Amino acid sequence: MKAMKKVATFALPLLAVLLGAPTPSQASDHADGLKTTLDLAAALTDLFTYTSPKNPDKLVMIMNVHGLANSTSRFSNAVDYKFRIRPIDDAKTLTPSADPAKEQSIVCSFTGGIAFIDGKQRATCIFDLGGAPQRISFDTRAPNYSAGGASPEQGIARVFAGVRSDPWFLDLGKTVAFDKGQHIQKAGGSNGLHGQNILSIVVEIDKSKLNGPLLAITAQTVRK
Amino acid sequence: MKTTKIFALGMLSLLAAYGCSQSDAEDTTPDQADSEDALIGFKGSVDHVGVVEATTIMLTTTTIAPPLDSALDSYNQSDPFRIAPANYRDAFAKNLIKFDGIDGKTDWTADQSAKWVARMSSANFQVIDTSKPCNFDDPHTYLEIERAALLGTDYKTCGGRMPNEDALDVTMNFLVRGPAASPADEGAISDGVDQATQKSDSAFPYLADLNGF
Repeated sequence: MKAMKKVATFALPLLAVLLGAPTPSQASDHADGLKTTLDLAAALTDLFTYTSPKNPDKLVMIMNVHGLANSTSRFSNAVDYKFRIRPIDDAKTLTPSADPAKEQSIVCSFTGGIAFIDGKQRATCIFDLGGAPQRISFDTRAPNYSAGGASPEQGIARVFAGVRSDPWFLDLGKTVAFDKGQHIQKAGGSNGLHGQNILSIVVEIDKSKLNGPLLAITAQTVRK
Repeated sequence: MKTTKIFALGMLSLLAAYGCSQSDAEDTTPDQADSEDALIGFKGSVDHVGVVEATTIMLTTTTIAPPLDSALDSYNQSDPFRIAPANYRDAFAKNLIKFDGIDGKTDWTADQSAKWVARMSSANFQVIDTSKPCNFDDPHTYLEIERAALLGTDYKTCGGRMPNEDALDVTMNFLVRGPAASPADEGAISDGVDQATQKSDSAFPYLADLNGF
């Protein structure tokens, strides 16, 4: 039974995209390849980067994965979830520094939980911002969240990990038409991701620790 | 379509067989039994994200089932700061010409096109200037720094990307109407959807609580 649930989880979205139906595969970065369609817990859907509206001294970075998440969904225990930050030295070309030594990173990994039953995991995020890396650990389920958990503010940063409402929105049919090179009309749009959830990692960090104000930021998932 | 369906059903059968074949291993290997990754036997980079719709709109050359485009897996598995441009340059360039032509006009100059194709085929990242303002309540910053660089003007906002901004409309107008275009322009392109299921909040952790259970 458990094996069949796994098959359904991975195969049904794949079947949908293979049959050519408009699916979240046309959305942002959702299921944008055969491998990521099969590997939902490592399939990045969105990245957000902005200054905190509550504290202008903080940078917020959010990465989302698993475009079909529900309250029991877990991050993969076999994946590193990485925010990678490089300074941009030339505002005209916007080329990130080619020097890996100038890269700063926050890498989160997970342990525990039971697939499809218990979403509670132990998250550990390592902040490598120059100097000795700092480590923040917390549980991904806590009483003050429906299906998530967060660290208290520790030194330079705080982190959340858990299930949230998918912030991406689009009309899937119109996006498919656009992808085909067709002109689309604004009237009658309908959010094809209505009611969907994602797994989210939210990091808030002191700007003063970053290598400059003009930055190139990417999110990456890497199987260990 | 018929061929696609046959292939799809074949793939489903294979996955079902593979998934069921894992059940013995689940009984004897607790770590695997607890993992949602039992179907995956892969190590290394899986995915990266920076620019919205970098793959399924800007890169893919198939519109029937974009995930089947093998170029997407290899692009996703690349180091996002060190992608091999030769593998993807032509596809990004071909698609940019397609989108630029949707309105019957050529809005991208050759120089702008070359710069954008070079950027997307070599790296995938967002640009943010943390010294500039981000207005969370009225988010219009996504791609602003990139557009200014292509136009040779100064940017005014933080760039980056905020959750409530309509990044798809920004992307569509950017590709079709060129770097000078904005979704706020009269006659701008839009898919007619301008909000997620729930709006994101201005307080940590920003994204709204889950839907359903």
